[in-house]
Amino acid sequence: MAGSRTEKIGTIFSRVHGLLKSGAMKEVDKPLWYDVYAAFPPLVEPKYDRFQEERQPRSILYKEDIIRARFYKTFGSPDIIDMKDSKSVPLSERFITMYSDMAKSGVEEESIFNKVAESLRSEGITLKTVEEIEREKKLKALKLRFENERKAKAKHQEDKTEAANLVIEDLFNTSAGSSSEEPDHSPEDDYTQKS
Amino acid sequence: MVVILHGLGCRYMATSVISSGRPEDDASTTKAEQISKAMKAYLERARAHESFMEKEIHDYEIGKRHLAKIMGADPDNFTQEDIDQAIQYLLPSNLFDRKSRPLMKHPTKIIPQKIVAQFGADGRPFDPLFYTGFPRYYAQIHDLGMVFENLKKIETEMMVKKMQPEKELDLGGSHWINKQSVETMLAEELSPGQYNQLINLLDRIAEHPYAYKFHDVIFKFRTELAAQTSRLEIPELKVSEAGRLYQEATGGRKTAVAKVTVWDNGTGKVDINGKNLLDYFPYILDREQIMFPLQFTKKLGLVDFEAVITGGGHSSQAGALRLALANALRSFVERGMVEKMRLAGLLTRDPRMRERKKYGQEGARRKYT
Amino acid sequence: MISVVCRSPRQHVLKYFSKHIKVLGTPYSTRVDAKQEEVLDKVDQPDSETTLADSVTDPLKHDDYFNVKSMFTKHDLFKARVHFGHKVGVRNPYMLPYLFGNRLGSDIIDLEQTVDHLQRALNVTAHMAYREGVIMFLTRNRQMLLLVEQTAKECGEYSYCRYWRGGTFTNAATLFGAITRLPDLCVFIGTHNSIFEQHRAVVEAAKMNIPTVGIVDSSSDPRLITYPIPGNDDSPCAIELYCTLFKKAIMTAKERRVQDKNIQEEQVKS
Repeated sequence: MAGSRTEKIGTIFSRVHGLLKSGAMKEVDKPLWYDVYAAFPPLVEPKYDRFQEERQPRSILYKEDIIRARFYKTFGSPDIIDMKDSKSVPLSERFITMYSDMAKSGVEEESIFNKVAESLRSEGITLKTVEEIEREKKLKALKLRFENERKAKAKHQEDKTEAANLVIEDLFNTSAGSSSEEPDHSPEDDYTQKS
Repeated sequence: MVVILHGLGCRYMATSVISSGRPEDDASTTKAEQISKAMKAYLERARAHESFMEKEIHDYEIGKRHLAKIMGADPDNFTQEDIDQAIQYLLPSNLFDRKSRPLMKHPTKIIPQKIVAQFGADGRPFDPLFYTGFPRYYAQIHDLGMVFENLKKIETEMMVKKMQPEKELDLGGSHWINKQSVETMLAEELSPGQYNQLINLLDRIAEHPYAYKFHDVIFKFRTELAAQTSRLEIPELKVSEAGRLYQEATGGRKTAVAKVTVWDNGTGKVDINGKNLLDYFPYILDREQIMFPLQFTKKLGLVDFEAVITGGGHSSQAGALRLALANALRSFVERGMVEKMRLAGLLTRDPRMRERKKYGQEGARRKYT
Repeated sequence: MISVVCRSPRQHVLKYFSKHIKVLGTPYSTRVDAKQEEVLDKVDQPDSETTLADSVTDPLKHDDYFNVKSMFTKHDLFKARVHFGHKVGVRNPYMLPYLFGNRLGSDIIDLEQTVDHLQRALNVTAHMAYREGVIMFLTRNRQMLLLVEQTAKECGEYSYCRYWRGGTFTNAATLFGAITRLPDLCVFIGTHNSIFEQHRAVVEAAKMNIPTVGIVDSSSDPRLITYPIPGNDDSPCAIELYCTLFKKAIMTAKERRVQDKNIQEEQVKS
């Protein structure tokens, strides 16, 4: 049976329809899908050659995004979100619901943000601003450095005093305390020329 | 012998109508006028294959009866073994390639499965993976993939229960079967890439800590290492009519061949080609070679042996007899000692043979200056 | 059509047999024509507005013969994350009509449209299965490959989720050694191949006049797909949903065919 392999011209239906109409394809050889397609055509004709839209898709933004953005800018990511758990509510969502409730109840716009933060803090949740977190980190680092330096200095002092209290003779005395049979042989003797 | 219907001129064979699809039309589609070209092709192909197989089987059966009559046996009870023996007798062939020798088997065993019709009369293939071109190979890959998914599930379950794997899969002493064996197993030709993919998948499965649960599936694809299988076969001691234990063995070195019989409960009596040890091997070095296996296994003076040696010179005959003795003594001794003998080199046949002389040279290596 | 208050699906359908039923007063009369009783016992009555005359009529004349619309809801699609598309950078311009919008760099697919397209695609698939067509599932998503192959096997249909041999459709006679019946419908669970290009089978099917049903994501080219379904082609939960739906549609259609055939035979006998 005949059949055009030009997939970019028309659709499969238009091509097969053409073949049937012209008699190149017999009714008996009609494809199985032909009647199904005729009864239930696709919503958009599957043409290769079609008009390309120019308009860009809309940007999906919500009013709550402003609050959300401000929340994340101020507090960073305060909590861990489990992606698998669809029931637990993340902190930002709770913030937003409280914010919108306060806004509805008519509280002043400017102060809502801080008030919500305070109320969450009063529940026991730690909400530190990004600057606070940074400052704390720096402070901690400084403290650690100071501590290490102090320890190093203390050890250095220890070593010094240890060295100061050292008696050379003790190094060469045996644990019995008595001097050895050989006369004391100090290391300087090795290097100084003695007659 | 292969039945292939070429094209029928139909290159655009994409779609076809087997029936109009509606149940009420099923009765009428069997009428000749309503059958489409494609349907005709499928029916013809199925019929051709059926008749081809029928003919082959018929020929085989008739041939079997003829063969039985030739051999003077009962045609009704002529088994495949009888056929094989008859063919070997009537058409002896010493060709090295056993597959090239004359063969008479039932057509279903000779004609490869690939040529067997892979779809029914309505054109629908039997195998869901038919269109991939390698249905059996990809079915195997699928099954192994499912095994791997199972392993992952088992591992997570055990981790949740804080349990450890019970044992480890022992892959020592075996290796993955070669490409040829896989092709025979799957009845499909594979490309090297496909074989590698299969082995990689099997490696990943075998490495999994819970792989021992799928031991059978994995070992379907493993063969034991050759050295080990032959090593395990140490023949047992034989008993003579007098009730004395003995073992026979052979050994070779260069062109010398020695056949020895070692008797248990002996006193060190030696018989080589009817002669005494000292008479046959006047050189001390040869006698040392022969003593080595006996001394190593601590059987010196505890066994008797008689040997028949042919070929070679005195040194190679001594080497041949040494190997023969070592082979025989394997049966008298423990496994551990056999391993030690192997490490000592007593059980290795020295493969060195005399190198041939080349033309243009005086000897094998020596050149004319 | 007499609109009658119905208490059960059976009663709901009985209303269409009103000319055969002697209704005395209440619509819940048990005096049903014996033959209709038999028919109703055999055929599973769907809840929707499908008509069933005294004999099996042309399924193609029905709006939803296999009750595909009840197989899923828009919320099911949402839960299965079908609306998540890819990022702006990989967007295919021909997918713009199917996009609801873009949320912070990720394309969001319009589920209203997806519902319509999916219903249509499932309906067509069911009709093809009803007519004993060869349906082939294709995907090159390595993660969900096993599931798709399993789904095809369980439906009694075919799959090709491996490396595509060029010419499988266009050069079938050479590749398969003889005339082979090519698939009557190709279902693509994702139209990409493993290097993010369009699957060769899409073009080959279009060339060989084989209709295609395909899940087209925001990065896929929908032009050559006969019945595109705009939706997520990546997430395992979305693909699991598609597999379940296609399997359900095909199995329903096959069962229905057996039932209709029995009805036909009964009628021929009588």
